[in-house]
Amino acid sequence: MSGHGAEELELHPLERRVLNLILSEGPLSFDEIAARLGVNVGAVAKSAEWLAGKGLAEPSKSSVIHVVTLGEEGLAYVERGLPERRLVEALKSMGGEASLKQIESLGAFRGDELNIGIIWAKRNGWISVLKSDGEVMFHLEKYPSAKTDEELVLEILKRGAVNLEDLGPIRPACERLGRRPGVLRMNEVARHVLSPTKKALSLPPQLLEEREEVTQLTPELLSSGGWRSKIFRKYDIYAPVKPVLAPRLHPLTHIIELIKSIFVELGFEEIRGPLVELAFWNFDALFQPQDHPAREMHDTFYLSTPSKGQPPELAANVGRVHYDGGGTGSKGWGYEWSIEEASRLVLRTHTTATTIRHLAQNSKRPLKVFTIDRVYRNERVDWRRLAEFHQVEGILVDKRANFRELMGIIKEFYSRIGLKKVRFRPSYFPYTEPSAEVDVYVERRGSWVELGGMGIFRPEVTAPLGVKEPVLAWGLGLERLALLLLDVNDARTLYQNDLRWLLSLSPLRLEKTRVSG
Amino acid sequence: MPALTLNVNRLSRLVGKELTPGEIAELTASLGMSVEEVSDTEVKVEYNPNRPDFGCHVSLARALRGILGIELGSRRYSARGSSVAVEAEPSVEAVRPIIACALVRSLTLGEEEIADLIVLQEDLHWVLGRDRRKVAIGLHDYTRVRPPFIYRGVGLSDIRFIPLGSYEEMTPQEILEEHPTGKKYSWILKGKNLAPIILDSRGNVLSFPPIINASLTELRPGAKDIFIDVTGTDEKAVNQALNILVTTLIDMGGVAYQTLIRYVGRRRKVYTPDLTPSKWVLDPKYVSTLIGLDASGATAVKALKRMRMNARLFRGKVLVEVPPYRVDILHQVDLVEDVAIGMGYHGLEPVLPATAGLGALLESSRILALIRPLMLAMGYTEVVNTTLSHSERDFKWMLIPGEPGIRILNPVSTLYDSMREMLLPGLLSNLAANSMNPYPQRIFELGDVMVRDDTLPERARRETHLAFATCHSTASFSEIKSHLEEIFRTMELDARLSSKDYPFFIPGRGAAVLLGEVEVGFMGEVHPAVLENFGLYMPTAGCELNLSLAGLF
Repeated sequence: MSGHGAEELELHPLERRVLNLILSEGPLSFDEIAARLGVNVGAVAKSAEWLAGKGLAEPSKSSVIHVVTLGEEGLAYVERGLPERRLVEALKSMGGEASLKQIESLGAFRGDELNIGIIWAKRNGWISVLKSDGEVMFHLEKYPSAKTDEELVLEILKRGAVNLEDLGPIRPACERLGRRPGVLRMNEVARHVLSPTKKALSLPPQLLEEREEVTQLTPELLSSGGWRSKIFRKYDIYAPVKPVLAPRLHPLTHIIELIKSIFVELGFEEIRGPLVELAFWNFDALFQPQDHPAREMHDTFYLSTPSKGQPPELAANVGRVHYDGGGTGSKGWGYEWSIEEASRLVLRTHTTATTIRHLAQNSKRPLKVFTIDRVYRNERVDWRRLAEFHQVEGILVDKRANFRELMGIIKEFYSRIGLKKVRFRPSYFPYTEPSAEVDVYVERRGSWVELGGMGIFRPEVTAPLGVKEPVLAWGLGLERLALLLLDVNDARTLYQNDLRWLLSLSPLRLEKTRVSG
Repeated sequence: MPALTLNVNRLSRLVGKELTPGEIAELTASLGMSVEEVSDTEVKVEYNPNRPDFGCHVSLARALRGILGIELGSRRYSARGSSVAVEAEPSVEAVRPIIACALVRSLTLGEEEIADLIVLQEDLHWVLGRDRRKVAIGLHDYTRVRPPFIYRGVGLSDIRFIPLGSYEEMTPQEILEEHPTGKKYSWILKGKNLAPIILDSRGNVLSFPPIINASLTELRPGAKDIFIDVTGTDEKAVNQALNILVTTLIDMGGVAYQTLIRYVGRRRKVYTPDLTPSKWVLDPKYVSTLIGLDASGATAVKALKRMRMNARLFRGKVLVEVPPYRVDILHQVDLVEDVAIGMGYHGLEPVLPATAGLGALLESSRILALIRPLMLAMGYTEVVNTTLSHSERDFKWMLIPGEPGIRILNPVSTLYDSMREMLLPGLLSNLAANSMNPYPQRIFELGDVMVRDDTLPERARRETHLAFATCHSTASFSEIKSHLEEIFRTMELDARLSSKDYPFFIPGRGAAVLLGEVEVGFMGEVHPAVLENFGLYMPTAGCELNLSLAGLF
């Protein structure tokens, strides 16, 4: 916007030139100014507007001109010729005489063109029309060898807009064309005159002094030192500029990196495991009986190709524990365990499948590992539920590990995310005891939100793997946390990849929620 | 999770203390329930499937009286002897082999109690019974029938009786085909040619488990004596369900009687219910080390009593008697949790673990974190797609002949039937979905695909791919190529392009990315027929690299 900085009157070089011209010559039309200064009328109009805004010049309407341009039909005529011209050309080529049908059969006329051609050719006295034996016959009377005025007008208009008043002797032809529908377009345009105001007359002379101003500092100006004698034009700093949308990382990436860094800070090592998993690691090793509802088809994705895998040797130990406790001090579930069922392949339903695998295959003690990865539930997707999502999972294995320490890990984790109020409720998972549900208090919503589960692996889980120490374990939902941190309600938003949304998210938003909780 | 709607007044009356809805919410949460809704008169909760004994007002009041300190320990539940016998004939063996029964007398059942029993029964059907398959329960007005009872497999059209919810006699066959409840549960008896039927000594039908009871014995308010049948395929679960029902009825004021079950073919006799508490020895040291606080024997005893168990100290150990309705106690570790709940989780102070560890990221995480800024700097925005995928899109739309290597057996949604093997189809879907947004559009994804691998026990391998695509009116091979070469340079990959046609690229405008002689990726201008399949009407060029194969990690 101009007008800011009105205290200090500043003139653009063009404003200065325009003002000097009308101060010395008196009021002039925009066209004349443009012609005298060698700039286009648009630039003059712009300067006039700025000068008027500063109270230095006054534009006024002096007369009206008619600007003529080609209409839709006109454009077609320029390309293919006037219909009457094309009609006489056709007649000439057919020996000066032809029937309506013969002309039509040429296929050279579209729509109304032939009728229009007939009317004007007749009116111009170029042809005559006869009816004989029910047929309409055309006869070439006079072949116009020179270009008609109408054709001249079209030729001029082909090069661009023209003022009707500037056409001189061929103006009537232009007006005739103008009456034919769609051929021409005529716009009334007011002609403006710009006059200096009194304020302009009393301007200090140095303001009007034409100096050389530069817009862009160039390497040449720098190397020659020429910049010293130049004045840099001041910019309108409020003028809008082209928006830039910087590419972004996906918000889930930011959240995952944040969580990874927290667990690494807390001394946990990252691990990763299979997405396609044996039912054995996903369920059986976690003491989930084979008729447990979570194993049903409507909760778990089973694979048809490939459908079965190879459970490890220790599976037999696990089967015994399911049957009668297998010497763990447990009563077991008391059913005949089937290795077939444990061999089925599933898309893992929780990342615990990965921590239990790691536990079975790793004898390092103490052990502190975590994973953030995808899990699957065979569900119809809606605003709350996804069929594929992420879990944050971890275990701590140590002789002296206990339930209060598990609480401590979870509390510390959430507090580092900015969720300072955490509460633990008793809960149930087939593979942990004691177990707890983790709720965090979200100030912004004024409510507790359930974010995950935790517990100590049951002896029925650890003993068949040969693990004697307590194993603290937890699994937290990532997407729910992401929705809280991003303040989004619909979980599907996270996987829609709407670029408008992705590009609108500030990577700092997480840090801000982290601070405010 | 099974749900329970608690009436505030009724629960207060049963607990013997005026409770506010807020207090009920807090108390139930402290027992491990999840509170769904709280109004002035009702509290809606969900309870965990390990505690089917929470399934009604009466049994929940029992637990609340414990943690409120109104009544500690367990009452002695017992069933007297009786002459009621049930003869299980060999014909049930192949259909529904197990039965357990009980008689409970001297009750005064009002509408509230009957409603409670129905809710409890339904939840037991679900939680222990796996939707009646494993366990099904019948409750009968005992005054309408006369023992001894017979449990028999009967031909599907060989008997007629009036089922609940009907006014005319029907055969089991007709019930399975026409009665709404029969149709709902007919799947359990699919392929069986006998109907399990319970008859009394006069030949009256009590029940056609697990489908429906006869209307003859329907429970009505005012019922005093109840006969319970529990049938199923798993003796343990059958007895658990019976014990939960009988103990609840005893808490309602009833007197329980055992029945004698004679399995004729197996020459086996059992008396049900068996309400003997199970006995456990708990070491207080085990409790202390697991919870992480000095819980003395006395503390454990107190907490267990609040959890309605009988407990006492003996030579430094805690002797525990677990009442017959607690079906969740498999190991002494389950008692440890009860001690913790009895003490209250809120009273356990979280502490940071003393176990030290050296935190570390996976190498792959570190490398991916270095690739991402490179893609950003070249103008690509990151997208994240699911690995669940649709084979029609991944193959047919991409003009790739063949089948996915990993197929899902039972997807509930038609949106997916397989696991993705490429990232590019996902990117094309994203671009098609973004056609209303400004161009140019440049997106990338770093993610895993699944590859069939029969050398692994789980028969499938994860591989990490990088894919990127540029989409605008002048998107071209050369644009992608210049970005790809910058990736080679940044990642110090000695890779080269080699001319190769891919069905999804314009012929002559695709190339393989070779590392040595190994094809680690491809790039090119997407074929217009593919773009049309995706509904993407903007030129697009793309590239996909297998980072696992490229030896980056």
